[in-house]
Amino acid sequence: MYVKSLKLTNFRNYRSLSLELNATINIFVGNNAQGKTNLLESIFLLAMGKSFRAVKEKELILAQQEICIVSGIIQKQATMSLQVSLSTSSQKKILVNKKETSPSDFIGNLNVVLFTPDDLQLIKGSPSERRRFLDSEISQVNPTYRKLYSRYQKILFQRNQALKNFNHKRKNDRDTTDLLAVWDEQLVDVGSKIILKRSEMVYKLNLLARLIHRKITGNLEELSLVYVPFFINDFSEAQEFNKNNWNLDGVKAIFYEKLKSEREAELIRGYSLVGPQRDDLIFLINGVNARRFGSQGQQRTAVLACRLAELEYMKSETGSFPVVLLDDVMSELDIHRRSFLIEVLSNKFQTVITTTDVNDIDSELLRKGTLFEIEAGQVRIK
Amino acid sequence: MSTSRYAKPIARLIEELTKLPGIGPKTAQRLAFYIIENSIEDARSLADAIIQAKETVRFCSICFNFTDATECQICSSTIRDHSMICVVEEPRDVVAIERTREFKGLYHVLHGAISPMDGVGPSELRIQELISRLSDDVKEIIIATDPNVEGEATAMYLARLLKPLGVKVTRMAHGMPVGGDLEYVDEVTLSKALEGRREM
Repeated sequence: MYVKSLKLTNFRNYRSLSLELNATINIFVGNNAQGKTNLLESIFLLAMGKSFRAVKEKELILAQQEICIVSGIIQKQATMSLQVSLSTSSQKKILVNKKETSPSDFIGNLNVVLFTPDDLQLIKGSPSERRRFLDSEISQVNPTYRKLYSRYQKILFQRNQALKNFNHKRKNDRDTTDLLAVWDEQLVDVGSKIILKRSEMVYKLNLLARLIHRKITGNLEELSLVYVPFFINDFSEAQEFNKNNWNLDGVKAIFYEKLKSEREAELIRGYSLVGPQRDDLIFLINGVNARRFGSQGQQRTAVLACRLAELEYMKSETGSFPVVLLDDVMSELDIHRRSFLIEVLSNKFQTVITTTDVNDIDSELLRKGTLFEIEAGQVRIK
Repeated sequence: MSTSRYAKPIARLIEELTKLPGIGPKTAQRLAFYIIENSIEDARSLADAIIQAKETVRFCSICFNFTDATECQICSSTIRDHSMICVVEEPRDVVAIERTREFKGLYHVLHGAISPMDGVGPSELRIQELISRLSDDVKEIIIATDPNVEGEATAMYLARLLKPLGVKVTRMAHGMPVGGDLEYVDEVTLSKALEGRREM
């Protein structure tokens, strides 16, 4: 799968851009604030239907313009057109082959893996960063998960409201408790399915990341990714967690138990304290939590291994490699890690690289790929 | 949207039409021009129909479906099966089930579903009225609320409320559309259908 061509209209600093991309390596060189990341953002938008950095979607529209359109032709077995259009006055429209679709049917047509200088946040950041990572990876390859996830968000929202509305004066009334129970049942049902999918994904990702990490570190360090669902306190408990319980009924039973024991606390706080919205993912290096004890270098390597494992994961789930987006990451990596990454960036998949300095790019890559120059929202082949 | 490009009465008509569900500015404009280009009789007849419907239609005192009498045709019918009550969210759901001509029982319209974020709890729905309909004659309550998050919560609430009262409570099955191809059914529906499989 690769992006054959890209067309931007009033997107960020691009008034109008039409671009044919190389099926393997594409290098975009330019100074800061010329539109390099914007270009990657547009490809990401076609994959996920939303931006990876915009706080408000309207900021994607070029100043003083009303409509912005990002469209692309994706080459798979056949070609496919994807389009996202935003307007200052109406709702976002997303189209597959010129037909309007829902976000959950849009995601997954183009798969991407994005490497950015902010990637360290995956380890250093809050658990919500890691949950977002899990959700976006699984969503890209699993349509059921996308639907489960959006259903879960609705249930959670309603349940939080129900907890807020809870009448403490009548807390022993059957009716008052029933009003919470109706949300509990759905929360447990959909939430448990989400937990099982996440667990399955991390299991696969862990195997792949470990192998890659061994190669980068020359077998010196051992990386493991440990999924820690909300009902488990820490990673050592997670590793010992009885694998026999990893089925729908097992998870549901634990979920119900937790609901029961946290009931009072939930009522006092007025929002949900149990459920996969409190899951985490732990990166262990040689059995030690990399978030707390890893050096910056170790964390970088772990994230790199994790991102590269994503490539393989998506390949194994969907049958084709995703498009790889590298946002100015070469300068962040030391020679060793950089050469490892370059080795991986073979002809197997499409890569879009941005950089401020063309000297950061390996000459082999330059020879194989197409070099573009970006200046103030204009792109030309060099 | 500015409507100053229209003569004032037209602008007003368009504004009123835009308030209707599913009607955007373009459709409203088309409808308004259509009404104006047609005869005054047609316009009067439409206006009368709206007023008359609004003035005469009310809720059935038993099932809370729309009717122009005290009791609706279904509730007052002697050939319908009074031992079964099908509970739905909206009057339009009654119409949908009636189209099948398969269901011979009665209905109960809740006028909504439990939704804390919209401030809708059980007391905002016609639930007490449903309880008061229970008698020895009523053998089964079929819950046919929507299969979305709010509809499911409402169904569970009703089940918890009704079961202790000794009446049989059933829920409409979710699953495969009839006459379709398995491969075109969306994944969530398919997995629900798997969960609700029956032995043959």
